[in-house]
Order: sequence, then C-alpha cells, then structure tokens
Amino acid sequence: MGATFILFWILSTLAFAAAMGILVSKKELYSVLSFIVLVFAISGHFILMNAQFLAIVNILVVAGALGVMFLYGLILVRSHRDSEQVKILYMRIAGVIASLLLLIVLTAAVSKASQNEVVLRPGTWIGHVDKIGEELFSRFFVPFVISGLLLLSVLVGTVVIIINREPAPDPKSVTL
Amino acid sequence: MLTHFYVVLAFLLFSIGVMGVLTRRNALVLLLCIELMMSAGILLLVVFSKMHLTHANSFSGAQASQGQIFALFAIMAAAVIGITGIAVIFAFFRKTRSVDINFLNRLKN
Repeated sequence: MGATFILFWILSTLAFAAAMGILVSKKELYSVLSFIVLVFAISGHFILMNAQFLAIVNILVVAGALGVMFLYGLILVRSHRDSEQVKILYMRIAGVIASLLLLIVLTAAVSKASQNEVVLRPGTWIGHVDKIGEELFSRFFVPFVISGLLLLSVLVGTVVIIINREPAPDPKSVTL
Repeated sequence: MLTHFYVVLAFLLFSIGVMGVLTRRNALVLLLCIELMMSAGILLLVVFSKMHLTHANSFSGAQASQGQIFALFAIMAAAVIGITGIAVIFAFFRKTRSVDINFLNRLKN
C-alpha cells in the first residue's frame, strides 16, 4: 500500500466523479467544467505512469484549447429554452441498460488476461520529451507532417462550415 | 500498479461516455461524451505502452515510445473531432435555434 496506490484511487475517484458530472448535470456549463476536471485527473494518471510529456500535452491541448473552445461554443449556442425538451423515459432506461451491459462484457473479456505491473524500467526514459521527440522526428516524421496537414485542413473546413453565406441583414431593420 | 485497475477504469469511463451518448439529447453534451470515450482510449494506450517493462529484454524502450506517440496522435484526433463538432453544432444552431438533436428526426423522410 504505497503512495502510488493511494494516488491511483484518489485520481480514479476524481475521474469517475467528473465523468458522472458530465453525464448527469442539467446545465451544459457544469458538463464542460466536469470535462476539464476529468482531463486533469487523466493527466494525473499519466504523471503517475511517468509519461510527463503526454500529461502536459493533454492539459494544454484538451483542457486548455478544447475546453475553452467548448466554453465559447456554449456561449454562442446558448438558448433560453430548456435544451432537452423531449425526454423519453424508455430510451433513457434502454441506454443505461445497454451501456451497463457493455461494461460487463468488456470487463468479463479481460478478466482472464494476465496481470502485469505498470512500471518504469530504469534507464529507458520512456515518456520523457527527449525520447518521444527523437522517435517523432526520425521514424514518425511522415505521420507527424501528415497530422499537421490534417490540422490545416480542419482549420479551413471549420471556416467553410461556419461561414455565413446568407447576405447580412440590413442594419436599420435589426431590432435588439 | 496492476494493469487491470487501469483497464477497468478506462472501461468504466468508456461506458459512462456510451451512456451519455445514448441518453442525453443535447448536442454539446453528446460531443463531450465522445471526447470522454476518446480520453478513456488514450489512457489505455499509455497504460499498455508501460505494461511489459517488468520483464527484462521483453520490450524495448523504442517500442514503448511508439505507444505514447500513438497516444499523441490520438490526442490530436480528439482535438480535431471536438473542433469540427463544435463547428457543426454552431451551423446547426443557426438554422434551428436549438441544440436538441431530436430536431434531426425531420431528416427521416
């Protein structure tokens, strides 16, 4: 019962609570904030597994960029009505039962698998930024460049989706 | 720490994501649940990159780094999915003034 064990359970409880917060909160704002808490908990797991580079990237990209983007999206699409007007009870019950069955099947599938420890063997430096950068810029250089092209195409595609093709309304006719 | 704990944790998070996609009707929360499922998968990638290191000479350092590089690309894919999804939700909201995906029922006929 070391410090790793205690930290694992604290982070797992935090991640589970944040995931339930995404699921059950009535307001979208609390869902987005729970998602940010979840990302921090998963980054804590990464640090626990000695994958510091991925932990920092996860916080910067997912919690920082994507979380803020979700908050901006929330501001833009906020409607004054209740966002979930139609609440179908039997669909909810069916969804809960289906996902619980999925959890049982997945857990049963791995229950007979061999158990291994998640450790860092000394001297390998796996998960440190120099090792990952070395691999990324030598063996994985082409996928790295292609992922950059993917990001560029997403930038262009997002603008194309969002752009307003309808003519702008006459400023005199706009009533606030 | 045994791998089983991490695997069951990732399955739990994934199942909560599936539950959210099946039960919630709000498009933004739906997208958040998809991101939650992606995060569970990324957690598993990092766990499995560290898994075989207890046995000497069973798994080289370069091979273990590949799992984390794959996780890096998966984080990028999650960001791409999120941003494209928000763009689609915004375009959808401008037409319907709502983020309820039950509106898409009218695509049926």
